[in-house]
Amino acid sequence: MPRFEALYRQFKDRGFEIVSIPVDRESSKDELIEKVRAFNARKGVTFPTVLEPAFTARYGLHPAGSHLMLFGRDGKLLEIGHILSLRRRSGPLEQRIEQALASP
Amino acid sequence: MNRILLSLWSGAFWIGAPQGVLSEADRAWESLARTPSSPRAYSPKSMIEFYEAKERGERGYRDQGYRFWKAYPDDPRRYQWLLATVAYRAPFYWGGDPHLAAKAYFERIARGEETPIAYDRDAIRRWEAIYPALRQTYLSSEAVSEKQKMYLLHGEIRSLFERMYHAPGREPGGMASVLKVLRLLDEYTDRYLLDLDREEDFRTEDLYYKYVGWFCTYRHAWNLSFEDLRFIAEHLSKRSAPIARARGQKMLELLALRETPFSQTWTTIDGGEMTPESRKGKVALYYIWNCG
Repeated sequence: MPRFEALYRQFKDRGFEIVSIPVDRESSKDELIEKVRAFNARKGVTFPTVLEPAFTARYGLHPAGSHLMLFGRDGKLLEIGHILSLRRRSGPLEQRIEQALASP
Repeated sequence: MNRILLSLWSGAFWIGAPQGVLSEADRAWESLARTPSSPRAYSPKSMIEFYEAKERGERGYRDQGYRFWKAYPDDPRRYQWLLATVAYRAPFYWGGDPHLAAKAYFERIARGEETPIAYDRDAIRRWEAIYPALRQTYLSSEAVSEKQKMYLLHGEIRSLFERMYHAPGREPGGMASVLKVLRLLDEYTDRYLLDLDREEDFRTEDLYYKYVGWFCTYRHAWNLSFEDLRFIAEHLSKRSAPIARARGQKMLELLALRETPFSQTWTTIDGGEMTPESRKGKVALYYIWNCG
């Protein structure tokens, strides 16, 4: 999370946002809100957190994994992957974000 | 005792040896059963030593078992060995904290270092050359129950997925492995998935719910392009089994985001709203994480 917070601060003035989507199949909605609020406060997260606990189920992603999805300015999906395999295979995330910001 | 340890280690199911005097086959089987039976027996000093020892142990077990297979064609215990050989093997779930082990492993990959699993490509090639015939004998044998055959097919898919998962980028030809997985999934689905009378502890649908999702998640590690993903999704969505169709459909929905942006309005944790308009014109990184 500190890494995402740093990315967010670095690029947010240029039209970049990070959306955190926590997934938890076991907790109720209130429990989830409680848990994520505490987490965000502890880690100093300032980017928005969206309540879509069914996100992984809807798109058939592994429910226990952590995924990154990068969308361009036109709202279209540019990149999807596991947080670490993505970093290894397509260069640093900063580079991908720079590219996405540069294209219209 | 050795037999009990062996059956525990393999996670498979002891067929049961015929009672009586110790035959030559019995003695051969005893020596096979004396191979290292627990990962803890290796007493690893570090992860690297652990994986190397594990790989050596597995290879030894495989070779010895193959000798048994060749020498005693009428002994039903050879099926036990075959099943144990392809059975589910997940290094990270053997003791310790699996998440920490997996994290350390992926961090090594991220740094571009060699990963600790010792891969002997020649050994794998040799094994792949003899395996199809073994498998055929197993699947057509009357000495093996349908349930045991189901476990073999299930184990094959799982071990293939595990191998792809734990050795990202080191599996030759990502799409070739994926095609192999798809073919096995089809075979398995046609044979068993339509039978709804399943054991409770045997989560057949996990193969679809859990593993198929990995295609998208680990596409970089396996060098899969979006076209490859589309091919997989379309293949699955054309299958007759509802579960396969549903998974294919979900993947297609995900890939449709390449063309059509999200149109939903989302609520944020602070009670605010995130509308399609508010997201317009922005580059967005969605971080989906499990907080359970």
